[in-house]
Amino acid sequence: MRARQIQADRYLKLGATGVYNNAATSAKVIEQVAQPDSESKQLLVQAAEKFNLSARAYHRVLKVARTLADLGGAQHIKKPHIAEALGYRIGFGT
Amino acid sequence: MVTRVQTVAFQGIQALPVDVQVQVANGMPAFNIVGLPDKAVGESKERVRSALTSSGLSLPPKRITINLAPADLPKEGSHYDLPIALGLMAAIGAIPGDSLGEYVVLGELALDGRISTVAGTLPAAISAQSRDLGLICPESCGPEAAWAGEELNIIAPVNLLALVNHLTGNQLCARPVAKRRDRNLAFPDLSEIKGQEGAKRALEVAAAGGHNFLMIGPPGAGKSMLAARLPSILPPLNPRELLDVSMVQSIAGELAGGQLSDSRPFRAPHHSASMAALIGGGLKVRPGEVSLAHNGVLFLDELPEFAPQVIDGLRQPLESGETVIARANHRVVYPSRVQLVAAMNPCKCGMAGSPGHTCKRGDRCASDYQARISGPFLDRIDIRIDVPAVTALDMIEPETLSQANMLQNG
Repeated sequence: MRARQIQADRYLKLGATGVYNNAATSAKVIEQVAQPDSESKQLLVQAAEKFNLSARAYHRVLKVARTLADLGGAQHIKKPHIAEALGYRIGFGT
Repeated sequence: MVTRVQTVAFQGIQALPVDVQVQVANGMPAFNIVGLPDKAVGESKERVRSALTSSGLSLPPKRITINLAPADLPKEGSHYDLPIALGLMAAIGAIPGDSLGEYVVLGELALDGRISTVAGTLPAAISAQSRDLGLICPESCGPEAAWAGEELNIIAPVNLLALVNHLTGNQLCARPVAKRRDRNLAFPDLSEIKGQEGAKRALEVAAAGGHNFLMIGPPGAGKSMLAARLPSILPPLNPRELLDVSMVQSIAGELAGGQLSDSRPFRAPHHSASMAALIGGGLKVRPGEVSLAHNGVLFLDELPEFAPQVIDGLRQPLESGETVIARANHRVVYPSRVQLVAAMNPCKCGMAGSPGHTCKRGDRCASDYQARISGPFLDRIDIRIDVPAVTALDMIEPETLSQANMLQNG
């Protein structure tokens, strides 16, 4: 519930009406609130090349990473968040 | 002399104003309804005639013409009975006609004069409020209409006689009270699932952020069980979301007794569902499962068993949060921002990937089955997890996170 509250407050502050969770945000907003640090960015670039991630997939990974960070109470996105988010996306056999 | 009564026509979740004009003139006795009525609306004249007779009134042998304006908008639904009856009663002098212009009227008439339930009372109430009018609706829809606002003047009579008594001031009807359905507190609990820690964690993440979620595993691994427990870890609807959800449910006729509920919708259609059932459309452009699950969860069990066109038809609503249903002469938009949860077996025989097992058809068993889900659809799934079969050891070990713990953390 706390993670949900964090998300609701964040989007209220940003003035995004009708958005109450990470999944519903637009691509522009998620890039703002889920900026990966340099380590995570490297991981993302590698994964994007290796798995042919589309632009939509890239934004969706950021959204999941943002949720993971919220669950852990973290302010910024770190490598473990991106790694777990990627793991969920690439999950089963390609 | 033309009497006028206000009502509404529904397009999606919008209620467009419709003007019912009644004229009783000299000439060959006739009863005509014009304004592109559909079959149900055309049949209203029989219901209206019988209901008026049962209430002690009779129609004069004159030429009666009813126009439903705007004339080029097709009129559908059974809610035009009551406005037509009221217009007629005012035209023949049974009720004072001057106060009729202050209300939006909707309701279906039974042959004995009772006013029956109709769908869409909530959007109609909101439209009435925005036009500074009151609302006359069936008694069973009264609680639904009361949600539109405290200042809305609502009359919710049981039958025509009660309505006439109210309008003439003889006996006033009580204003209906908004009712809320109690949340189903007996939801299945997540702590009942033994083992599957990875899946539970992923479910938690999906619930926290509203992400789309796919489970792949052999039969009996607990995928449907996990999905059934998702509603218990989702937060209740906030007021804004509650309004949107209730509007769609009202149009679909799913608000039982006019009671609103703040638990998130959870829809689980069978995989034989057609495109119209899932996305919307059909005869009266009804909302589909994806719109009925707006702000909630749409659970598709046995995903590859759904028709491929139906699954791909979901792509657009999943991305944009809206379903646009186009017909020859109008376009209807329903909201459909849903969280998709799906479950499937890894292959046709269900056992691919289990340790020590090879499918009879080899690798093709899995790849053929999984190929039934298109790439672009999978691209929209955020979280994909394998739900392995539960071993006997897992059933014996004690569970770790309890329900309360999980709610607190996420």
